[in-house]
Amino acid sequence: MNAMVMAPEPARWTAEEREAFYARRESRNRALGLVLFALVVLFFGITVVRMAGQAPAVPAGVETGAGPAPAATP
Amino acid sequence: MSNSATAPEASGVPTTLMADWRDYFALLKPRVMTLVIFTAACAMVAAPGAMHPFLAFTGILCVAVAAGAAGALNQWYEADIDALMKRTAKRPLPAGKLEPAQALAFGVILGTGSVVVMGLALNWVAAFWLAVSILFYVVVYTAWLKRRTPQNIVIGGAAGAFPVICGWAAVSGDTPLMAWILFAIIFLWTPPHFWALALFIEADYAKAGVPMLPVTHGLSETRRQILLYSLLLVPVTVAPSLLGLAGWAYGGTAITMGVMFIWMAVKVARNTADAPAQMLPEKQLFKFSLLYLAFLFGALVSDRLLLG
Repeated sequence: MNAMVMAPEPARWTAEEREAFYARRESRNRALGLVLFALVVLFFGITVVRMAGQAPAVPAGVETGAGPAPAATP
Repeated sequence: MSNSATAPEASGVPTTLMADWRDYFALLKPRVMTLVIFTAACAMVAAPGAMHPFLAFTGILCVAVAAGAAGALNQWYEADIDALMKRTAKRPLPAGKLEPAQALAFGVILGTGSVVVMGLALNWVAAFWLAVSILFYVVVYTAWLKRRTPQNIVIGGAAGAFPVICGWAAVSGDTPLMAWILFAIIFLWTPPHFWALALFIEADYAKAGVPMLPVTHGLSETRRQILLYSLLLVPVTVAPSLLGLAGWAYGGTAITMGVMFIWMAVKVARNTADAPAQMLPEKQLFKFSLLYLAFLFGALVSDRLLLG
C-alpha cells in the first residue's frame, strides 16, 4: 500500500471533500463493525454446537431412572 | 454492482480514500458467488449424513467467502486487462477506487480465514478442498493459464466445480464417486456456458488480448466445441441414475433437460452469424444453461429429500 497516497490530508481539502471523506470512512467502519460482530456470533454458535456434540455420555441409569434401582436401606 | 455512489465528487482527494464498503463487496464477485453457494448447498443436501443447521450454514458461508476471496485475488491479478474490457472496466481496481495491495490483503485474509474456519468448525478434508479451490482458481487459472491457452475456460470450469466437493466433504468427511460426478457435471457444463457468452462479447476479449476460443480459433470452431462439450455433458448428468447413486426423479430431469441442452447446442452449431445481434441461439443457450444447472441440482436435492 502506498503510504504517500493513503495518508489523508483533510486540512488541504475543501469542506465538501472533507465531509465526503468522513462519510465514506464512517461507512467502512460501520461495515467492519458489523462483520466483526457477525464473526463473534459465528464463533460463539460454532463453539456451542461443537461442545453440545461432544458432551460426555451420562452414566446409564442416572438420567432416566430406568437403570437398576439403588439397594434399599433397612 | 453500480459503484457510482463511490465516485469522488472532488478532484483533490485520492480516489482510494473515497472507497466504501460497496467497493470491497464488489471485489467478491457476488454474482459468481450465488452459483457457488447454490451448487455447494445442493451437494451438502445430497451428501449422506446429517449436520447441525448452524454448521451447515457455516460450511456454506466458508465456501461463499472462499469464492469471494478467489474473486478478489483474481481482480487483483487482472486489473490491467479488466481496465481494457467494457464489461469489467468499472470494477474497483481499474476504476482506481482501491489500491491493488488492499485487494490483495482482502483476498488473502478472507481466503485464509474461510479455510481455517471450515477446518475448525467442520472438517479438514473440506478445508483442504476449499484451499485447493482458491489456489486452483488464482494460481492455475488466473495467473498461469488464462492468458496462455484458449482452453482457459475448460480449466476455469474445474475451479468452479470444486465447491461441490467442498460441500459434499463438509457433510460426509470424504469425496466419493458421486461427489466427483457432480464435479464433472459443472466441469463439462462450464465451456458451453461461457463460450456461448464469449461468442457474443468476443470483441471485448480480443481487445484485452485474452486468448478466448472465439478469438484464437474463430466462431465456427467455438460453436463446434460447444456442441462437443454438450454431447459429453449430458451422459455424465445421467450417470448418477444409471449407477444407482440417484433416483429416476433426478434421472428424468437430467434426460429431459439434457435433450433440450443438446438441441440448443445444435442450433448454435448451425448458426453462422458473425454479428452479436444475430446470435440469438448463443444467447438462448447461455440463458438456458443457467436454468439447466439450477434444475439439475434442484432435481438432485428433491430426489434426496423425497426418496431418501
